Amino acid sequence: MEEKILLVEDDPVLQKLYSDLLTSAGLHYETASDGETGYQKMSEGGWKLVLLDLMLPKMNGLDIVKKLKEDPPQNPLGKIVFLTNLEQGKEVGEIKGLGYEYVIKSDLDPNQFINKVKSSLI
Amino acid sequence: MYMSPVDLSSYKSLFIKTAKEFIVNLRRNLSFLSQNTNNKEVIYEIFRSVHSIKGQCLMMGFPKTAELCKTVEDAFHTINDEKQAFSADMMAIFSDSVNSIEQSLLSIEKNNREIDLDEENTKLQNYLKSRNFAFSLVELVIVVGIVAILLAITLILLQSPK
Repeated sequence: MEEKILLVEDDPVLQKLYSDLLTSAGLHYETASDGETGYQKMSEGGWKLVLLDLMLPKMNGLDIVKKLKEDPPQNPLGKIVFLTNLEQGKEVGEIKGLGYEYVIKSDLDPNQFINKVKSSLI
Repeated sequence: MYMSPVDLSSYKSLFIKTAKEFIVNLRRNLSFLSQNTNNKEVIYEIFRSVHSIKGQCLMMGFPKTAELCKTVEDAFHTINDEKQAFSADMMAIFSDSVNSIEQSLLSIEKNNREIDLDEENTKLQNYLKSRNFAFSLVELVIVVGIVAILLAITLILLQSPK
């Protein structure tokens, strides 16, 4: 079965970098560049992994998962890993409180990013 | 082991292009904010724009520019969390910071070298401290420690025989 990954990242540079890395690792993915589009795609379900940026235009990553908890998709949503460059603050506290994993983007080199994605797909 | 095919220099023109767009957004939103200092949407957009430039600079290997971005970001994180209010007289220093970040981006574009923004960063940090923005964790631990020691000394003195 194809491992469908959804990458929700608004930053064009990071979206291109992560897309190039996923392509070079032979992984199949779709992208969303803002919170509303990300929410729409996530609410369809059927993802194996969602890489969800925290700070997004229109709707942030935390608001997306809260909305999906209230109205869960019919198809399984898959694992969610938050991407963030915030090391502390109430947002990171909320991610932990809701039981999600997160990675600090600036701490990940390209190899670590792909390793994280692959380990999250198992 | 997976070998990364990534050559970061191939992302430079996209980085410069989008970082410049974020600078335009920052200036526009700072101008909006000076007219309506409580606009939550505008505060979040400033926070998000400078957060994005910081992330891009870190990824592209320009830490000095990222550090100044982080100080501006932290200030707007505090404002966004309503722990501190924005006032119109803060405009000048944040505008200076945006100008410095832009100068560094232009230097990266031309020479592939960022400007050392330590002085600008310290100036902004000192300004924020003078405006009572949040203590850093280290400062908080020091203050709590001093208060605890003073309390302990007071208790010992009160309990000692006269």
